[in-house]
Amino acid sequence: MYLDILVSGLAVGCIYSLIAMSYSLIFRSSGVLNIGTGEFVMVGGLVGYSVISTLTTNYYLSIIIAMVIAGTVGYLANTLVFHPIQKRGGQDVHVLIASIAILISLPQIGALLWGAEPLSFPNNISQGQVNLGVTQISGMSFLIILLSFAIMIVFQVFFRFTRLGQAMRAIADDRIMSQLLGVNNHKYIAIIFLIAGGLTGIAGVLLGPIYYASYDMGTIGVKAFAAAVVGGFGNVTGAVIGGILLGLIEAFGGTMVSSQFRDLILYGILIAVMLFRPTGILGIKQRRDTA
Amino acid sequence: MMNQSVLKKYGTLIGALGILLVIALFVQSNYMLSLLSQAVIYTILAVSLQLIFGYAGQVSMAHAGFFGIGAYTSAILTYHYDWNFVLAFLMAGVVAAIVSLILSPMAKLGEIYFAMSTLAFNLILTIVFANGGNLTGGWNGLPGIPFPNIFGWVVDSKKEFFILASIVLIVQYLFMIRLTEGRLGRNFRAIRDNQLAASSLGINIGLTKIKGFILGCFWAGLAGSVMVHMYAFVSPEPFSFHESITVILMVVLGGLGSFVGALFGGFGITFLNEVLKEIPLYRPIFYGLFIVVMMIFWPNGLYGLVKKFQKQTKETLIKYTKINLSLKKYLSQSKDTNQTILKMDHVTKQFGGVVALDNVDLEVKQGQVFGLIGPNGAGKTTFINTITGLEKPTIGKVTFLDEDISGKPMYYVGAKGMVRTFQTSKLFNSMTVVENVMVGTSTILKNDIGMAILQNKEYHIEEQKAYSIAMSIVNLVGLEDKAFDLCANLSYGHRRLVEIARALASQPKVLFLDEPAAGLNLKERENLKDLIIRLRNEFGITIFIVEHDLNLLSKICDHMAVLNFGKKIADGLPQAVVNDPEVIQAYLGRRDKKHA
Amino acid sequence: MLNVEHLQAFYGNAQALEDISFTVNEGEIVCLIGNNGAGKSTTLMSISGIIKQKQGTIQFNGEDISQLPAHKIVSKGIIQVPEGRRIFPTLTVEENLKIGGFLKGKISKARLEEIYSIFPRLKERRKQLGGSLSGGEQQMLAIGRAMIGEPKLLMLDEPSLGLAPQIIDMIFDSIIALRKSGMTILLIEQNAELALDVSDRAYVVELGKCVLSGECEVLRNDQQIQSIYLGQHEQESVV
Repeated sequence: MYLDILVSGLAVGCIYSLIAMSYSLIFRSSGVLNIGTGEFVMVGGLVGYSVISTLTTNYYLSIIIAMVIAGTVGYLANTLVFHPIQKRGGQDVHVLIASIAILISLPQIGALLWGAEPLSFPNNISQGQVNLGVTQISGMSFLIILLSFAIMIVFQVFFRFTRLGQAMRAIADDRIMSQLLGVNNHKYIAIIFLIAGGLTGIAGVLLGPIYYASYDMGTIGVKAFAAAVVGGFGNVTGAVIGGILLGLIEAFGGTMVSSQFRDLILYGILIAVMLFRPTGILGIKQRRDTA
Repeated sequence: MMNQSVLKKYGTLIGALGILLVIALFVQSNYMLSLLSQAVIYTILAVSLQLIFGYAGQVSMAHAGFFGIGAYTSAILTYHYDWNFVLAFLMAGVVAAIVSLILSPMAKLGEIYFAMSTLAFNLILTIVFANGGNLTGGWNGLPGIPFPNIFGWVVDSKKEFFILASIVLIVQYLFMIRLTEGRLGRNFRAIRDNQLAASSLGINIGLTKIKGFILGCFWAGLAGSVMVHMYAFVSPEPFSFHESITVILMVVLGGLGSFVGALFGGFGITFLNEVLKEIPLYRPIFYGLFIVVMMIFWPNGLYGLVKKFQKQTKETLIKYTKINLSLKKYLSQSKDTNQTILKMDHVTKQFGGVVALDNVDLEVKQGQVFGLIGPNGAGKTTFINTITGLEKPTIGKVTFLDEDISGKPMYYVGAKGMVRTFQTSKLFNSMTVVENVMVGTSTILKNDIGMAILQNKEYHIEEQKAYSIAMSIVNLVGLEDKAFDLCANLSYGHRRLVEIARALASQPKVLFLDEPAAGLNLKERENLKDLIIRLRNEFGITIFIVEHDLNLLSKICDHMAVLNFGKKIADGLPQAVVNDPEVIQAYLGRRDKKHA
Repeated sequence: MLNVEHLQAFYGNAQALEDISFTVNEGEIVCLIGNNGAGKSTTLMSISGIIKQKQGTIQFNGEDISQLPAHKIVSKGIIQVPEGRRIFPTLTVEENLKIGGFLKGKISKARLEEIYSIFPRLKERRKQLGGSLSGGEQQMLAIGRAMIGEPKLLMLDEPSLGLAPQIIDMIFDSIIALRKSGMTILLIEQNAELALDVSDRAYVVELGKCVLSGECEVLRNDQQIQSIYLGQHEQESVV
């Protein structure tokens, strides 16, 4: 019983981590806090559903297609919305308001295309079990945890060892200096939006079989943001730790309250962290702009 | 002139009043009246969010939630507990304000954190409203909320509700204009323009934002009360975060920082909502596109557009006439030149591997002009930052008038009387020169929310005094013919003077000048020198100047210290310091070696 | 090589540069001197394409580069070491160096060794984070990081900033060594004496305008220059 909760909490936590990483990647490189990040998850979930219910029965293929489409949406959000605002001298508050626009319009587009009813993924995806010798755990949870950790490791390697990853870290450190060394910030920030959108797309398809896919699933973005701030906002490692921690808290806490109050746990944690320890549990200092 | 200023101040209000009156007299259709009442209620919401967003600079995504808190408070008190409407109405505002008070520490955070946390809070509220059992009626809501009875006036027709809502809006509008006129209003605008400069003048930014947040939520609560009684029904839908975003849209459309804009935004979006009623699914998409296009091409809303056409460079409205006040009395400091006013013990400041300040001891006496020199990058600005609370010393202690102030926040240090200028002038660009200087008087004045709303005699006396002092200081620094110019249009040299004038208005005990001569021409440098000497001689203000120009400093300083790569290498009378071989060696770099 | 004519630059409404004109020939060290706030750093940031609101011409090897984005200007061979060095604090020393050669593709071990041979201190610290370095080490890293991009024109903004005299000597020795190897350098220094010592020609910038120019030898003996920029020394010698 406890093992099941532990595993499913860990799995949901990994999904939070993926979305939290998306927040952090975009914020660190371009300074944009995309409030609409959760809506990219929705895009991933719904696209994944369509792929698996019409095109193919291969779940992995649906993950890839959803990743590509959500990534494209992320890329377009930068190219059509955030970059033009920043280029014309818009301030953070204008970018923030524009991201609110994404938050309200994307779900409606989702509702128009997919309808307002929650859509269930085929049962065969979520019902398999994995035998671990002594015990059995849910195959879906196992897949989520495995895939999420694989993605996180790939990210670590990418940012640590590749030329592109290093350039992206340089942009995050100092957006002017990176240009002075020939890094085309605009291009790489666009790529980061693509990657970050792709991450949320994967999160959406992974989430679909556990719950369902629907136009209003984007509020998960708020929970993932809670994960990002618990870990220290803007810190990719912190995002992973925060996500897993909150996934577990929600899973165990959820057994104690009735289902309609379950969402209150993470929203409450977000507010509590903001009230009492805004730097997050890792205590990473937020960047201070004194200029 | 008084009439003209009354017209300018209350013109919109009088106009709005007229329009509302005409509507009340002539519109008979219940549909129109109902729509208009709704527009008025949403406008109250928009105006209250304008205070939080446009003035206190916080994007609250929970405004509909606070609207809902007021609505449910009023509904529950009248429905379940048979309270009188008037009491329930006031309680609606108070409860919303109390809840916002609990959340208020968040108002100190950056705007993105505040936005996200308030979004979460609105989601929580929706869950609470929808699961409140018999108390809230759950998703089905509570029908049959009694009509208001206001001291015998039973409000039960559409027209009467329209009148009630209009009265609330007009009172609120008056409240907002007055609130943002005095000291608090100046502080709001100062914070919006430049937070760092505002806190250097002793303004507690967090507290100011919290005031805006709580008052805004109070009015949102009142609006909620009016709405539930009008519909005689309450349910969770109108208070979801989607509605919060609609209110944000109203404010953004009207333009941040303009109450007139919020009036237009409130009415405009309500009517647009009605027009788009037939296609509810497309409405959010349309609004989303609309917001994005606006943020790209037109980020300052209607108000910004009007401003652009006006091209106003001078503010002609003068609220007060200048009275003669003794500047000497206002600015003068203690004459006890033996007193140590500022002391640093073993102060070290480290940034990663760079030691910016290395074990610095220093003592400044009352009434001195104290010069700190050193080559660029020697740690002089870090030094000022560390004393004035922008940075915390890694090790060591800063004592100001026998009080340990190390690590205290900047506004605290500023309010104690240590006020600074910045290397690149940080002015409140949307305000005039004299208004900038008036912001400096913030810590001296007492008027706050209460006095600003009442605008009693005491308030006017204080404001007139602030204006007169500011004008005298503007004269003192020689900017009298620029007093009503917007700071955004000033030249570099004038900007630096405004910054000094603004700091002076806060009655500084120690005035810190960070490279005041940088970027000035020779004549301006001479004037600056004269001004500094005058401030010391006439008013006894202690002045701490940081410069790398030894030439300028050695002529005006009583005492000098030399900083090089973070270490103090000399400290004494100017003559002694410039003759110190170590100073010559270090400050002048390789000269000896080169010529050897 | 570099030819700047009537350059004007703006920050929003405020005009930061009014009229800057100067040339740098191949193999020269040219310095811009002037007071704080005169517009020297703004000039470099305009050439590098960081400041976009500008008028006038900036020609590099005969080509107008004034409208190019920053990264294109770097690819033409103009690399700046900005004021305050701007080391990437969360990247290691070696990663900082590699970013310096970003446009050169993969940086070979040999190339890194060349830089380490100029600044052996950097090799000792190559696994450390940039933010943990001392000021002098950061300056070495900043110059090394620019060198690895093989600039045709190296622009140095206040290399002596905040450094101890012996470190300044070291940095300037390396600048002189660079010139001997044929590097063209545009130097900004608040320490006019130091700048005039190492440079061939100098321009004096005041309030966003170039007011004076000439050979360093000549300028050093110029009465006006002495009184304004070397004035501190004059006063010293009087005492």
